[in-house]
Amino acid sequence: MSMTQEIDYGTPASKAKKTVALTIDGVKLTVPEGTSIMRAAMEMGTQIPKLCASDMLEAFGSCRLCLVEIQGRAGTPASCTTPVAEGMAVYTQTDRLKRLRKGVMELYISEHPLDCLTCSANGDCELQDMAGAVGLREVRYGYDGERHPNPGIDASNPYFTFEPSKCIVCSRCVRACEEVQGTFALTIAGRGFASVVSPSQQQPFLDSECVSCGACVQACPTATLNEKSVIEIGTPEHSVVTTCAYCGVGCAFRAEMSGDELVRMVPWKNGKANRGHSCVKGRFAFGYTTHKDRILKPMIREKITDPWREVSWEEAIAYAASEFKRIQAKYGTGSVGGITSSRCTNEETFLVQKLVRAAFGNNNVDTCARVCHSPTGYGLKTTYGTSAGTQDFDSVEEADVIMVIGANPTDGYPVFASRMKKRLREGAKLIILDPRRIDLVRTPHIEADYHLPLKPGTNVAVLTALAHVVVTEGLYNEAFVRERCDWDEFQDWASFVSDVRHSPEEVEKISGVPAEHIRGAARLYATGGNGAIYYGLGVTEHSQGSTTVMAIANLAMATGNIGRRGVGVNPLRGQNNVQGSCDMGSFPHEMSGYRHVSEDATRAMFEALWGRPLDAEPGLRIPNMIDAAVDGSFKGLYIQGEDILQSDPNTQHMSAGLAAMECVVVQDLFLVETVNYAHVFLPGSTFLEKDGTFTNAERRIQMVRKVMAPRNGYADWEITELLSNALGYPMHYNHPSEIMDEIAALTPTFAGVSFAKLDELGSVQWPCNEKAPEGTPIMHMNGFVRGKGKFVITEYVATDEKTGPRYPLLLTTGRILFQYNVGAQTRRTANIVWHEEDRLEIHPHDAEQRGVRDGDWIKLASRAGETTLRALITERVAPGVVYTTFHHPSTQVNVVTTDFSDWATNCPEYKVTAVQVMPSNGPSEWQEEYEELSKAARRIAEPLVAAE
Amino acid sequence: MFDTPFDYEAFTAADGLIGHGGIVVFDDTVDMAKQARFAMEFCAIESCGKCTPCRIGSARGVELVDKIVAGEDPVANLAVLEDLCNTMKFGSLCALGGFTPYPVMSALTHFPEDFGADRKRLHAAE
Repeated sequence: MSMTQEIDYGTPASKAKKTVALTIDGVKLTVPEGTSIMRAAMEMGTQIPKLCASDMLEAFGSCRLCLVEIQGRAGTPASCTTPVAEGMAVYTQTDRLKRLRKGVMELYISEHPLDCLTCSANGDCELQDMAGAVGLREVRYGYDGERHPNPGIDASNPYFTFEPSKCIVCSRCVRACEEVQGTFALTIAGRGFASVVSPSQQQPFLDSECVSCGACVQACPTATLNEKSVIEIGTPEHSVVTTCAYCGVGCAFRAEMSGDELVRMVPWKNGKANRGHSCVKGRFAFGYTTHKDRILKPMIREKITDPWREVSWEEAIAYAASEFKRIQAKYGTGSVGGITSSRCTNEETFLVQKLVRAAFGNNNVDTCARVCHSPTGYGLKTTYGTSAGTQDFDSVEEADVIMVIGANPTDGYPVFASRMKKRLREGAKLIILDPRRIDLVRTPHIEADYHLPLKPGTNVAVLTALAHVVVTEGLYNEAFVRERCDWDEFQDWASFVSDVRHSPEEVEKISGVPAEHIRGAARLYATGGNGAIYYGLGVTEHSQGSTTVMAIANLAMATGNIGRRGVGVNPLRGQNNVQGSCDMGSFPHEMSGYRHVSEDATRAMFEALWGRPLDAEPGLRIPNMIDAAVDGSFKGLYIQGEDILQSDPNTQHMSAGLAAMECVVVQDLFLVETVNYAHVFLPGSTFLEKDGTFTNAERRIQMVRKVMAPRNGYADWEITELLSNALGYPMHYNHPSEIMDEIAALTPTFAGVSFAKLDELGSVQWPCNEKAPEGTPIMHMNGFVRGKGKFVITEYVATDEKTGPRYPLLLTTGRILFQYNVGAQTRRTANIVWHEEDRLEIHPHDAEQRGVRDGDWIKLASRAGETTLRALITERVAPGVVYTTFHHPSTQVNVVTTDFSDWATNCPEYKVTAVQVMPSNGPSEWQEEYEELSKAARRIAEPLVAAE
Repeated sequence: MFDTPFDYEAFTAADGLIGHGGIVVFDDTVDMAKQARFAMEFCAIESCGKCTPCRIGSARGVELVDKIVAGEDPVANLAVLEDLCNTMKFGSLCALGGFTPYPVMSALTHFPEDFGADRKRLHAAE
C-alpha cells in the first residue's frame, strides 16, 4: 500500500442546499452555493496553485498565487476568497496569470533558505511543489538581498521543531490554532518583511499557551513546523488508516510508516469523529509502544514475593490454565473471573467475556466502565432504552445552548472540545455545572453564560432545581412530552420537581449556587433553541451517579431536546473502547447488546453457537470480586489491559483483595501497579500491532489496522485464544473479522456490521442492521428505543461521605490533557515534560489557614487513607474544595478515595471524598514502603544460561 | 504632462493615479529615482505583511532601485522592476501594494534620466 493521498480542496465545503452552475476553463460544472472558485476547480480536477489555502481553514487570500481571471470582471481576483456565481466563466491559466504566479514565486524564493536537498521537508514541501507548478526557472533578484528573519530554531517542544527562517508567513499555523484547535496560542508578531510567527509573546513553544496539538505542524506547508520524527527518520513511504487508542473521541489517523517503523501519526480528514484534528497524545505520544519498559516475554511466579521468571508462551499459558482449573475444582465455579480491557478491540473484549462465560462457566466478567460510565448505561437504559449517547459529534454544530455537566472537555476530550468551542465562538450559549472553574468557563473568545460551581455531591439537587424552574415556569415542551412520553409519569414527575424543597432558593442552601443563576440557566436551556447536554465523570462517579444521569435525561425529555440534530444527551465516554467493551457484554449481568443474562431466548442463541450451557445468574462486579476475595471465596482473576490497583478506589482494600487471590493473570504492556500482586504476566500488544475495531462515544465503530508485527509475538485476541484452548474451550479464529461476524450474528444492534462494510464506509454508528444498514447517527428520532421515554423521580440523597471537623474539605479528582488516566502509556512518552507529578489544587484561603505555600509538600488524608503530594495554590477551586489528578503511581491518589459508590451500579464516588490537608515534610511512610514493594515485585530473574 | 487635468479619467489615461487626491509639489531639482525608491520604501514600512507581493516585493523594490541607480546591470534590473511592479499591481491584496507601482512606473516612464548611474545623485539619494 502507498501513502493515502488526501486531496486538499483549498477551502471548506459549503453546506448550502442551493447549487450554482458555472464554467471553469470551458468545463461546465455545478456546485453548492458558497463554494469558492478554488474548491470548485479542485472538485473538477484542476489544481489551482496555492500556498495559504487549506480546506480545514477559512480562506485567507494572502499568498496571491491562486489568482484567476473572470470574464466580465476586472483584475485578477484570488480564487480562494471568491465564491462562485451563476453563469460565471473562469480561466485558471492565462499568460497574464502565469506571469503573475511566477512573479509571486520568485519573491518567495528570493528570501527562502536554499538547502532543499537536506531540508526535512524535501519531497513533502508545498513551496517546492508550487515553484515547480508555476515553472519558476530563475530568481532574478539574486540572493544577496534582505533575507527572511531568522531568530533561531526553537526545539523546546519534545515533538516538533520551529524553524522560522523557512517560514513563508502564510498564517496557516496561526489560523489552525484559532479555527481548528481554538487555543489562539499563535500570532504573527511584527509587520511587513519582519513578520514572524510568535507563540504567545514570542516565547519558545514549550513556555507558551500552546497545547501541542500539532494542528500547526500539520498545516505548515514548509519545514518551518516539522515533526522531530520526520527530521530524524525521513519522509514516510506508506500509510495505513487506523484509530487512536487513547480517549473516547476516537480520532482517525493515518499511521505514516517507513517500512515497519512508525514515523508519524497524521489525523485523517475523513475521520468522522475528528475531521482531521487530534490532540498531543494521539498525534505524538506513541513512544510507549517502543519504550524500554515494555515487557515482551511471558513471565510466571508461584508467590508474589518471588522474582518473575521469563518462560515460553506454552509454559505461561499452561500454568495459568492449570491454576484456574485447580482453583475452580477446589473453590467452585464462581471463584474465578475476568476483567476485559476497555482499551483493547471489540473483538478482543468479546473473546474475554466469551472465555469467562464458556470456559470458566460463570458470569464473573466486568470492565472499567464500572468505575466511570456504568451509571450512564443504567440511567439511559432506564429512561430511553439505550445505554449510549444519542448523537454524533457533528451534532454540536447545530446546538444553540450547550450545557456541560461534570466534564472538562478541553483536558479530557480535547478534539471534541475544539469542535464545541468552534460552535461557541459562532454564538452558541454555554452553561457549565462544575465545582471548578474549568478552562472552558473563560477561554479565548468564549465565556460561559452561566457557571454553576456546585458543591461536590449536590448534582441531583441542582438538576432537580433546574427541572423545578422548567416545570413551574411552564417552559416544558408539552407537545413533545405528550407524543413521546407517558403523560401520567410526566405529571408525577412534574409535581415532584415542583415541590418547594426543589426550588432554586432552597437548593442554594445545600449546593452553594445562587438561585438566580439556577433560574437563568434553566430558562436558557429550555428556551434558547437546540439544547445539548454533554456530561462526564463528574456526573457518574458519585453515590447518586445513576440518579444524576436520569435527572439529565428527564430535563432533555421535558424540554423536547431529544431526537434530532443539535440536541441530545451526550456522555463523554473516556476510554477508546469503553463503549465497545460495554457493547460486547463485559458485564456480569448482560450479554452483548445489553441483554440480561436471565433472558432465556438470548442465552439460547449464545448457547447454540458456543456449544456450552451458560449461567443465568448475574455474576460478580469488580468491587464484589474484591470483597469476595477478601472473604476467601474468590481466588482467580484474568485481567486484560487494566490497572485496577491504581485506578480503582480505596487502594488498601484493593491490595488486600488481590493479595488474597491465588492466581492473578495480567495481560498488559508494562509492569503496571496491579502486577505487584500477579502470578502470571502475559505481554500484550498495542493498537499498532493488531486488527480490530474500537467504538467511540458516538457509538461509532472504526477500524484499527495493524501496521507492524506484534513485538510480543501475539495480538491480544490470539493470547485469549491460547488461554481458552488450554482451559478446554476451543477458539480458532483466523482473523478478527471472523470474530466480528460472530458478534454480528449474535447481537441484533450489530447485525449489519462487518469488516467489509467498515472498509467501505469508513465507520458505522450502531444500531446497524436491516432497519439501518448504514448505521444510526441520531437516536430516538421517531420514538425512544424503549417506546415511550420514562420520567424517573430523582430524590436528592446526600452522600454518606460527609465533611466534619477532622475532614473539613471535599476532594474531587480529574485528569489533564497531557497525561492519560493512570499514565501507564503517557508517562512513558515525552509528555512527562508537561506533567511530572500530581499536584493538589487548593484555594488560597484554605492554604493560608494551614500555612501551605505553592509547591509545599502536603499530607492529604481521608477516612480511607492518606498520601503526600505538592500543593498548587489556585482560585479555580472554591474554598472548601480541593482537586487532584491520578496519573502517577507514586501519589496513588486512590488511597484516599472511599468505598462509597453509586447505588445502582457500584460506580465509585471518586468525586466526593472528605479530606484534611496539612503541611508535611515528605512522602508518607506507606508511599516509601510501596516504592520498596513495587521494586521487589518487579524483579525479573536473570534467565539461567544452560552450559553448552 | 503638466497640462493633464486633475481628473480621475485623465490621469488614468496617462497611467497616473489620483488616489486620495493629495498633491505634493516638487521643483525641477527633484530626483525621481529617489522618489521611486521612497514609494517602495514607504510601502515596505507600512506593509502589514499579509500578502507576498507587498511584504517581499516592497523590500525587493528598494533593492532594485538601488542597483539600477548604482549602475548594476541596469537594463536587466529595469526589466525586473517592471515585472515586480506588474506583480504588485495585480497581485497585491490591497491598494498599499497595489498602487505603489504607479509612482514607480510613472517615474520610470517619464523621467528615465534620473535612473542613470549618476554617482553624485546616488550619494545624495542616501
